[in-house]
Amino acid sequence: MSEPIDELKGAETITSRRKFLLAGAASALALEGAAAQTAPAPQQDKPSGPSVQRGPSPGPQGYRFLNNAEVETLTAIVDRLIPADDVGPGGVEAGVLVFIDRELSGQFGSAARWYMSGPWAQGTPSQGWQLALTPRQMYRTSLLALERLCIGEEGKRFAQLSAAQQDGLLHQLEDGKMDLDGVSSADFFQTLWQNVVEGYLGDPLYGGNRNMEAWRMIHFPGANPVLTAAVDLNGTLFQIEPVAIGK
Amino acid sequence: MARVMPDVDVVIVGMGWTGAIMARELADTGLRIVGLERGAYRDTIPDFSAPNAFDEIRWNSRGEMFQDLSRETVTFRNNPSQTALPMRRLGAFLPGEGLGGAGLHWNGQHWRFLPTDFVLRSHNEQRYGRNFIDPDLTIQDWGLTYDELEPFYDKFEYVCGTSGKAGNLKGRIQAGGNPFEGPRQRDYPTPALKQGYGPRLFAEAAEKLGHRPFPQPASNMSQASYTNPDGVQLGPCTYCGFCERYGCYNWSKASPLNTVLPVALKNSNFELRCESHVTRVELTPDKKMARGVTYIDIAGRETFQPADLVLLCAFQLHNVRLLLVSGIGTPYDPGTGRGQIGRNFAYQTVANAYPFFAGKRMNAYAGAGAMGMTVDDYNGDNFDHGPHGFIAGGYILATTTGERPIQQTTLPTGTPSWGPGWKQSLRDWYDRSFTIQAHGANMARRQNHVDLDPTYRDAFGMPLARLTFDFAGNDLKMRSFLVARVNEIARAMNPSSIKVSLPPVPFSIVPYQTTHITGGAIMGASPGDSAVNTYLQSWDVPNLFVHGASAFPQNAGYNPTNTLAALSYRSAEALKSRYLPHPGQLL
Repeated sequence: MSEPIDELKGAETITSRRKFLLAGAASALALEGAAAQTAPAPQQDKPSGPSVQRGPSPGPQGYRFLNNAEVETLTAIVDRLIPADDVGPGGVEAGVLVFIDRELSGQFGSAARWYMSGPWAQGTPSQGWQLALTPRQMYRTSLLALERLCIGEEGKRFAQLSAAQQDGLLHQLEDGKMDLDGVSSADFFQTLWQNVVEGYLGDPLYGGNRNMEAWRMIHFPGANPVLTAAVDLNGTLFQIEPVAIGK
Repeated sequence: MARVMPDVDVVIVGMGWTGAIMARELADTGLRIVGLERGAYRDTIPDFSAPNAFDEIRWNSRGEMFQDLSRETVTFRNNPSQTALPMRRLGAFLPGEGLGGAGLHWNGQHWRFLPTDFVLRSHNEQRYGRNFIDPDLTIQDWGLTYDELEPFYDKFEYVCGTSGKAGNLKGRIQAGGNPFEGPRQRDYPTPALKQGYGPRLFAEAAEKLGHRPFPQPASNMSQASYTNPDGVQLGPCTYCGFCERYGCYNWSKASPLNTVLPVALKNSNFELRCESHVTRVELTPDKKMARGVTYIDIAGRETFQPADLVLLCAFQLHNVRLLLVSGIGTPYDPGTGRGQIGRNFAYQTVANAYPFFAGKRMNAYAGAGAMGMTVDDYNGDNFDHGPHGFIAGGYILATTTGERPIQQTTLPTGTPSWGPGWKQSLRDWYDRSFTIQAHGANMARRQNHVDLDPTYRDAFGMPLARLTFDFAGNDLKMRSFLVARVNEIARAMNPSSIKVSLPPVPFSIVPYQTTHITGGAIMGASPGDSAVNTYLQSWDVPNLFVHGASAFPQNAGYNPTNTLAALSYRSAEALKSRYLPHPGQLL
């Protein structure tokens, strides 16, 4: 197996740097060159109450499920998961929060198509998801627990922490190292990341992937029904403007 | 007190492929037929019109075509010593719901099983000796041969307009086709699909290594149009890349909606009732005959539909559960090996590899569900198993089915799971690879079975099916062997890197693997070794037939649709020519 190309090595460098930071040598300076440089200034320097949201407007109806505090925390989280930089659109700018809000206020948020009858038990990893909470309940419980943990340990809300501290916490969430009032942080992170990716790469119909910028970045043609001509190419890019169901 | 509907001749439970085929085949007898479908009515227009057909959130992430688990799911454990827990979210397999069933969201991979697959135990014992087969395996012969099924494979391929290249015409091997397939009476009705760059790279490499690659048989229409023997027209595949998990917008992927159902529905003696969830088969007091079925309609009313003949055509798990809750036959006991209902549950053993090519674009989003080049040299008994210590095998397929970004993005090993590094990898590596899949058989084993869960119930108060399953040692040896062959071919393509993805061991209900679950009401030569005869007729209740992959004694290394459809066509012919004139046991 041969080596990946240079761009990937670049990506690995960032990971290594993260690991270094997590090892306890956190320094805002060290991160500067990696991700934070082009991200629009986050709210971590503003200690006052939940702040103005960034990213696209949720529309005239506003957020349907998320409250102001949740919008603030999720904005900060999504800024770290998919930061805005010159590679492509950031998750917040792409409308991921609007997407998550709409999903949580609909059928997905109420686990409408999941089997939700007890009795509830932990089970083996092979037996899969065994959580009694709906996604709505899980987001609300987990985000509140995360806020309380940040305030308890650092005296600051999640959004007020440095990018390096935020990344450290997100890695702990991902690795299941936190208990969020009964929710395994790995379960929460897995659902959150899946929803972030859905909002980033799904059709703009659902409030994310604004202007199909994420599709343009990867050259996915979206809802184009006829792609016959692309089949015959021999490794070259097929030039086609993406099409969306939604605006 | 249940509502009672007027008596009919035939009631069909489930309107997926097998139910729709039976409705089509029996409708011209003039019999009064009722088809019950638990899900909603739907049709190509308006349900799958462009552009809404191309919605990854709706159809993939939220799975709107799949079974609604809030009403009914299955419980699962790896072995009988564990307590089974409900599958609360869909994962390893995706049963369908609604008119057309899983036949709407399949890929159109349209395989015949090998002649040796039907005589699996006797063939392997003869070639390798009795002791070669692991005593844990409860595999057996089907009770019928490939030659008996061939006319019905042929029939279904012409109904679907299947595209491909014959490899064996009446015993003569054809260049460019699958040299290992059983003899077919004529070529495919339509030529093979176009192949994308990835599958073509794979075929070149495989050929260099001495394999014999050929286009995968595909029920995705390869020509401008096709009119099937019933006069139903299919449209051209436009390689939109939304096949599996989606309804086809262009009538190009064969499904019950654009093949057999329109023909069945032309007959006024066939009545379709959607949103009708069957809860049990009603028997006479001596349990020797079926009286009809009870179902719950959309308004929640319990309804009895009397019928002279009952055809269970639901998905594998539902067929088996209906037999168990209705008290038909003897439930299988893995401790004693006695009983037939629920026995020999099997799955499929798959593994994927992704070769990455720096600087190359695969344009893999331009795909079709069954587009792909295949190597069958390591399937079934197409090679000498003697040195390897396992039986059976699988095909190796290079495919580009759409590269829909939420579900199908695969990034190279070492990509961070989120953050700027993830995004950079997404930008740099999306569409630089394609899938090479080892699609392997799965051997029935003593402990694997389906019975009724003692604790969990569905929305109607009926016990859920309980699935006990783990891979057999034979499956895992076979998988390792196939993955090594996949890697050889992938390396011969000189990729920048290769990522291999193996489903977890023990088997996990979480990651999607395949929807090909089989067995539990298996067919065979005698009531001592099977639940149904080779016409799918219950040994215990002769006016009850059980269709679908629940009849497979174990699973072969191919996708099941062609075989389960062929079994239904064969059953329909026997019903019309022999059973209906003289009802009773056909064998």
